[in-house]
Amino acid sequence: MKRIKQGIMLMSFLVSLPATVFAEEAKIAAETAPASFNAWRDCGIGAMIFDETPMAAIISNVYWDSGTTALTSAAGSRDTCFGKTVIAASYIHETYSRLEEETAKGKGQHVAAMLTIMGCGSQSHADIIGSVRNEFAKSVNDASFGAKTTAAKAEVYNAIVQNKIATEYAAQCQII
Amino acid sequence: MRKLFFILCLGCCYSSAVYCNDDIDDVIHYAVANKLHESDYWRALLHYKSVSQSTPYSWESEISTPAFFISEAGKTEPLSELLATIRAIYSEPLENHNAHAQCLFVARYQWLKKNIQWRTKPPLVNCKKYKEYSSNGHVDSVSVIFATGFLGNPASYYGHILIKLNNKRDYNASGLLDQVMNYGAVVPDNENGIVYVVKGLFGGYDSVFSHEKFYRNNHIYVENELRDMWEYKLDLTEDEVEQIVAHSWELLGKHFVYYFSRENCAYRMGELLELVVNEPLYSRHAPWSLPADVFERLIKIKKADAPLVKEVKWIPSRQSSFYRKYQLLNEKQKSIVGLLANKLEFEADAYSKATAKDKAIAIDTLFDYFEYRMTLEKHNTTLKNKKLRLIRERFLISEKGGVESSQALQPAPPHAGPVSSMLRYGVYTNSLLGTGISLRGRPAYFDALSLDEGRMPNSTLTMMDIELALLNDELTVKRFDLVNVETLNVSQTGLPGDGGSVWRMNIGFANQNLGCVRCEVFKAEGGIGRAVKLFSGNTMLYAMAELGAQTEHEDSGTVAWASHIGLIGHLQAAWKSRLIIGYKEYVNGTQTGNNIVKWENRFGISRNWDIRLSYEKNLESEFYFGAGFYW
Repeated sequence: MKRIKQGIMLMSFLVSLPATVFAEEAKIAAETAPASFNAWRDCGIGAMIFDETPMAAIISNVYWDSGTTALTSAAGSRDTCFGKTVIAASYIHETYSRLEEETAKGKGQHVAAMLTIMGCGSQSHADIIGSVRNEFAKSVNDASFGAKTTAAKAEVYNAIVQNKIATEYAAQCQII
Repeated sequence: MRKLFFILCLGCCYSSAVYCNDDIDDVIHYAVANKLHESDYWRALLHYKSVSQSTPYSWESEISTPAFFISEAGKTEPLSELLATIRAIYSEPLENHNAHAQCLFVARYQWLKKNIQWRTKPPLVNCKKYKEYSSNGHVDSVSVIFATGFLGNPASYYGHILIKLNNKRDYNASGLLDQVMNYGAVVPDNENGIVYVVKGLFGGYDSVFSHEKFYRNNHIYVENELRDMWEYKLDLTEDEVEQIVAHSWELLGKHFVYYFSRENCAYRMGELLELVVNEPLYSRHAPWSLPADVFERLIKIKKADAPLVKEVKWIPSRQSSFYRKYQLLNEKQKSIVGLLANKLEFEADAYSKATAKDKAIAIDTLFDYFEYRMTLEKHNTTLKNKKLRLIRERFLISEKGGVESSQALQPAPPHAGPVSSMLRYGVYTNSLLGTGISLRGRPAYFDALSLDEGRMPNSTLTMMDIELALLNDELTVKRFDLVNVETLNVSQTGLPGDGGSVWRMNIGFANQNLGCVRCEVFKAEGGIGRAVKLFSGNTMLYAMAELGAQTEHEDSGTVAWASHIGLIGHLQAAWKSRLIIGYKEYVNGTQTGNNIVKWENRFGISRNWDIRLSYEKNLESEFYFGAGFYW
C-alpha cells in the first residue's frame, strides 16, 4: 500500500505538472537531463503500482494534491522529473499491457497517444510504430523477457521508444 | 450596506495604488447597484446554499477551503466576496502571476467581464498555469462520463461520474490525453470498513475535485475494475465550454463535506454542469443523488430544439470488449479462439493453416480474454505466460489490428435501462392471513426482473427497499432491505474461466415466514453458486448455497443454511419470469427446515411502469399482484 501511495503521489505530481502535451510554452527539462538520466530509477516510476486500486482510490480516485506535494527522495527531484520524457515514461508504465498488444498489432490508440505525448506528428506514427515493433519483437522473444516484472518490461519498451525517436525520428518528434 | 461599501472602497485604495481611482469605485458601485451578488450565477460559482428559509440573505458556501474565499467573510457573505474579488482583480500582479485573482478565479473574472462595464481595464496578467490546464484554449467540447457500477466497493455500486474536457481531436485523436475532472471523498489508506460506511453516510470525510488524464481513468475502470464507461458528449457553445473549464479550475483541490447518499459525485458534477445547463441535473428534494439520474436528465434536455447530448459513446471494459469481439467472430475464427484459449497449440491445423487475417483476429480477441481473466485471477501466473506467448505469436503476423474498436454490437446505454426510483402498489392474498394491500418503494436501483438494458442482466441491486402491508386494518412493515445485491454472471462464450459464478448478499429485516405478522427478524445473508446459460439470450439456470444469521423468532435459531436453484429469463419480450425452489434449515434452535418456492413475473417493457405477479410459499402461500411506477 505504501508503494501504491508513493505511486499516487508521483502521479498526482505528474498530472499537476504545468507541462501538458499542448503547452506551447512548456520547457522540456529532460532536454538538459544528463545522459544517464533514467525516469524509472531517478523519478521512482518503477515504484508506481497500478495493478490494484486502493479503497481510497476507488471512491476518491486520485487525490489531487494542488501541486504542492513534495516528492520523496526516492521519487527524484522536480527539476529532473519534469517534462515529456517523464510523462511519457509514466504513461508507458501505466498502460504497458495495451502498448505491448498494440505494438504487436502494429497500431492502436494507446501507441498513438504515447507518440502524441512525445510530440510526434500523426503522419509519422505508422513509421515509428513499425520501427519500434521490429526492435521490441527481439526483446519479447528473448528467453529472459518472461521473467521480468511488468515494470521492467515497460522500462525495456520505454528505452526502445526513446532510442528510436532520438536516433531515427528526432525531426518528427519534439521530445528529444 | 453603505457602511460596508465605504469600508471596502477604502480597502481598495490602500491595496492598489495604480488602480485606486474613481473607475474602480464605479465598478464596485455598478456591481452593488445591480445586485450582482444576488445573481444565481454568482451563488453557483461560490457554491452558496441558503441556510435559512426565513432570512433570504442568509447564505453559506459548501466549500470549506478558506483559500477559496478572498474576503474573510466570503464563506457567508456573497456581497463581501464579490467586492473583494473585484478589488483583487484590480490589484497589481506580484512576481508570480499565477497567484493573482484573475488566474485563481478565472470563472469569476470571466463572468464579471461579461456583466460589468469597465472604464479602466484590470491589469494584464499572464495565467500560465491556467493556460496549461486548459490546453491553451484547445478544449473544444465537454463530455460527461458514466462509469458503470462496481460491485467491489459499496460506494461504487451505483456508478461514478467524470467530466472530460475534450481537446481538439487534431491533437489527441483517441481522447486518452484529455483532461478529466473527478470528485470523491478523501479516505485514508487502510480505513476500517465499518468506519468507512458510517463516515461516508454521515459526513465524516472531506471530498475534493481532482484532475487527471483520461487514460488513467480508462486504466482504472476498464482494465482494473472491468467497468464499462459511457461518454455523453454535450452540445455546448464555445463560451459554455470555457465556463466549465474555468470553474473546474477554480474547484481543484477545494474541500467539501462528503455524503455518500446525496452530496456525492452526482450532486457536485450536476452542480458544475448546471452553470451552463439551465435545468436541474439532480433532485432538489430527494435525500439521495444517483449518477444514473444525472444522465437520465441530461438525455432529455433540449437546446434550441436539439438534444443537449449530441453523442453517446460506449467505452467497453476488457470483459465487454472480449464479448463484443467474440460475437463478431465467424465460426472459423471462434474455433481458433476456442483452441488457443484451452491450449496454445500454434502447430494445430486449425491455427497453422488459417489465414493471417483470421489468426490476427483470433489473437486480438484472446488478448482481451486473457487480460479479463488475469484481472479476476490475479495469482494465476499461467495466464500471464500464455499472454506472452500470444504476444510473441502476434509479432509473427504482419496483419495489422484485427477487430476494430468500432461501436458494433454496442449494448443499450444506461439511460435506456431501468429508472432508479420505484413505487409499487399491490394486493396480496395469504392462505392463512387473508387479503391485504401492499405498498413498496425504493430509491434505487433494479431487481432481477427489471429491464435488462444498461445493466448486468438478471442481477439485483437495491437499497433502502421497503414494503408496507395493510392487513385487517393493521399497518406493518413487511420487509426492509438495507442492501440487496445479487449477481448472476453467466458465461457468454463457454471458454475456460469466463463467468459462471453467482453470489448474493442481503442485509435487512423481514417477517420470519408467510404465516405470521409482526414477526420481523433482522438478518444478514450471503450465498455463492454457479450459473449456466440456457437457450439463447439471457435465460439462465443457477444453483446457490447460502449462509445467514438472524435474530431469533419463537426459538427459530439464529444461524441457518439454505440452498436453492433458480431459473430466470424471458418467456416473451414483455414477460420476464423467475422461478426459485429452495430449502432452508437452522443450525440451532428447535424449528424444522422448510421448503421455499417463489415464482415472480414482470409484464411490460416500459421504463416507467410494469406489472408484477408472483406466488410464494414459505410455510403458508401467498399470491401478489402489483403495479410499479418508476421515475
